Amino acid sequence: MAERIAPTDVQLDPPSDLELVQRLRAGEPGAFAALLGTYHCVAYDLAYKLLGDGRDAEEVVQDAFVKIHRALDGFRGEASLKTWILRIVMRLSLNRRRDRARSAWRRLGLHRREEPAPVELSPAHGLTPEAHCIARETRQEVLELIDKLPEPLRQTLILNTFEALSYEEIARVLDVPVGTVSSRIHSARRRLMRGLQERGLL
Amino acid sequence: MAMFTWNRRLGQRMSAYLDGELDERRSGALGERLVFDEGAREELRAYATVDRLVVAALAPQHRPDPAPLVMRLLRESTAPVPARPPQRRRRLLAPALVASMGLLVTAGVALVTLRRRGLV
Repeated sequence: MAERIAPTDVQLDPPSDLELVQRLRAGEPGAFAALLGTYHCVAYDLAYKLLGDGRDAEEVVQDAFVKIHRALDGFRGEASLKTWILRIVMRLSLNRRRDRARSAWRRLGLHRREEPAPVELSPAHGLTPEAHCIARETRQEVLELIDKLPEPLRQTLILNTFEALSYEEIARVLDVPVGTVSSRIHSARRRLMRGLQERGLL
Repeated sequence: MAMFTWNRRLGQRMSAYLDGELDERRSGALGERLVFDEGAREELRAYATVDRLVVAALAPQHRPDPAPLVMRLLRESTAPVPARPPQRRRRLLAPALVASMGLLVTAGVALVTLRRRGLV
């Protein structure tokens, strides 16, 4: 059974995409574990950030890696493996999000954004119950503001939360010019800033 | 919060500066401005705060074990492709042809009989 992959084990820039793809095509044992070890974490994070639900994100990532597994022969190396994988995850996540938006479940307001344990937004010695409550409310408000962003700004902003992704890489994932990425991130930040100021959070 | 005179180009440069995406020349120029322009510093701090809140709000609390996915992929890649059942040849045409011939023969015999009796 594969070992649990800890976030610190993830490498976003593997030594050689070509080498890994060759090993995968050859059906080498352990090659898929290597692929998952390198990319599962970032793929899951992206799906989760786009969908806001762990179960949906898990399903999307599983589907993505199945597609990747089947499409390896068609991978030509024009884009990096990372870009290719993130594009697939992004497309599947956005399709899932669109399907959810159309579902009766959502229209009836029965959907609920996943509520994990509150994130610590204050110094690392832990929060009082009151602080936990405030942190949870703040988180919800920030998520609402992000959800209200125009979709292109939202997607670009989410990709920019990955430290290991440069503007150029984000541009390749989204297939837009680098200048557009820069402009969208700035616009998203300005909108969120105004929203947070209106809610007294900034 | 004191607002400096914001313009889109400067704001976009500050945003890129925060992400380390500004080229050396512009980064240097902006760095110099930030020393003297408190409004610009506050704007940059606001962008940084927004980022911090966004990253914290979006962060997943746990990541699933990819092992089940590995097993599923391995099963799919090694599973034998099920054999397709042999297709049965359709013989719809032959029975229809036989039936048609039968009708024609019957009609022909009936016609001849009626003519012999002088009825047609």
